[in-house]
Amino acid sequence: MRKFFRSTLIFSVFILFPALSVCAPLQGEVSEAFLAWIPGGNQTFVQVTVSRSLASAPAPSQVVVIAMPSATLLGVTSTRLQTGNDTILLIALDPSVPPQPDDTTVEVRFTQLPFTTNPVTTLVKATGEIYSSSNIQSLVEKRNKEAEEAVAHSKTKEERNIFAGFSAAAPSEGDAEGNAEIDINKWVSPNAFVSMNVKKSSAEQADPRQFNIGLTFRKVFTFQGQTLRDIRNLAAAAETQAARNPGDLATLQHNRGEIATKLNSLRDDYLLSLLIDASGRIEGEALNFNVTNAIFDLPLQLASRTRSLGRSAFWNFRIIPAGVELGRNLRSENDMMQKYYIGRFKFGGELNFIYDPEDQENAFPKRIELSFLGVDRYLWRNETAFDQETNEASGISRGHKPWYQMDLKVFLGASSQGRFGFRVNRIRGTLPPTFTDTRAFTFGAIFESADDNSTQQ
Amino acid sequence: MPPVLAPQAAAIRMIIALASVTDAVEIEPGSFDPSQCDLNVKPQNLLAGNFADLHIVNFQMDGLRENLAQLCPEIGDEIRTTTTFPMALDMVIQIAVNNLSALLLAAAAEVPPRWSGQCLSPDAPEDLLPNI
Repeated sequence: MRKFFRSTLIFSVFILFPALSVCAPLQGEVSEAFLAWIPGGNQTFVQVTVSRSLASAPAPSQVVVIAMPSATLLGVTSTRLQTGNDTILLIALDPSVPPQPDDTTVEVRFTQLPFTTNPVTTLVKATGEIYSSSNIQSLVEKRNKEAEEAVAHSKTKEERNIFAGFSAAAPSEGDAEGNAEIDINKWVSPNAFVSMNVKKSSAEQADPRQFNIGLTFRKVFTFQGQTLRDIRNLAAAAETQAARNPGDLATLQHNRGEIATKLNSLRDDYLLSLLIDASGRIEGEALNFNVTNAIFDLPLQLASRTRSLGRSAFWNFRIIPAGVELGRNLRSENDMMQKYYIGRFKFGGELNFIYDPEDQENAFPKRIELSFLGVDRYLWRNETAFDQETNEASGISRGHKPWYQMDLKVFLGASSQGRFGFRVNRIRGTLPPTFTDTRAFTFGAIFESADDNSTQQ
Repeated sequence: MPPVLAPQAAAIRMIIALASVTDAVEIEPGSFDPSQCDLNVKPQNLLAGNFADLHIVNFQMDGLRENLAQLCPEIGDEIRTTTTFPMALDMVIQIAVNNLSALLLAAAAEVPPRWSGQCLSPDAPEDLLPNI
């Protein structure tokens, strides 16, 4: 029976694809193809990534899948586009006709690919690996490597491994000078990351003189765990019900209604997660370490969802309701204040607004991002502080030490290369370990490239 | 009823996780059909963009990771581990979906399979997680 089926398919290929031997196949339209054959997990399919958007999946009769080198023709049972990405084509295969044990590659041929623009009606051919239970780990390693490379190339300020921004700083008094900010974050285990950050300026009143290096353990609690588990259980019950009684449309509709209610309830939430950090860090005066402290930091953070404000605006926030910094001074410029103990309480938050009009073609400006960040530290005990008159950290500080920061990015225009605009940043307050009085504007042009949305300032 | 393919299950799970984090992802009410493992979502091509395009910011990425892990109990530990499931704000979401799909396939290849082709898998007793 199997031999008959295969013969029938081979026959149909030569009927359906008379042009195979006379047309040079287009291979540039497909960027990746692979076959997964894992019968135990009911996974028998080919995934094809094409270079442009598809209007729809090609019909099964327009697709041929051949396992190589045995040239075994595999039966196509259905095709579909992956939800959420119209460049990913999924081709389900008949599990009763497996590749031969020695087969290592798959060849996929399309008689046409219905791209949204300039559909291809000539033969398109692609080849790729076959992954079975014995070598599926190599696909896992390949995908993991691709993701690691994507993270390594990530250039968004907060998340990239290394960020260095240089801009002009204008102190409230005096001349404009250079300003530098460096943040490095690297996860070293599932719950821990190392970080380093520097805030330094050559302008006196724009210089927070801050250097931190530390190790942080983070525990994440999500406020939506129960709702997501309910959705999972409802969906699983609906799948089982549909398999047993495919004709019971009333029950199917009821199940979908219940799931819709749960999905909608996700959007009603304001809070997303609670983050509990426990970090140890060395904080020093950048770049000379004249003041150096060893600190244990225990902050709580509440992170919100991103909520919409109409069709084109969004907002989110983070609150630090409470945090404690305990530690000991290791080095000080004040002879009367050496090796002292440190105790601070802190609270703060961050609020972000984003204006991102739907009609990007005609919108002006193209995008606006506004963020406010503030934190107030209360020093229980005396600490050394920077003295503007002596120009060294010989002063003494205690009590409230606030820090405010405002950041405005306005993208005025866009081209095929990316978006461009300007950024204005206002900082005011003091930061440990020197608690230097800082008040400054920083400003600069900004360009966000179109290829990977990386930001260069 | 045909089994759900790993890339489609991964896409649906990622879309629901994204909808739990940002209003920029809209799942059309009543459109999620678990038996077909499909739904209607706006923006339609969201997995081809990156997380920042959906107005997700850095301090939400840990919550997103945890919500995704909640939706994938078979591979929750792998998702919670940043080395086996790297994510960044401006990486293309499809790269993370491909990684998720590969992890589901590996779970399907085990004997017995940890994952057998469900769109969303039901709770198991060991799934009781310390989340609020």
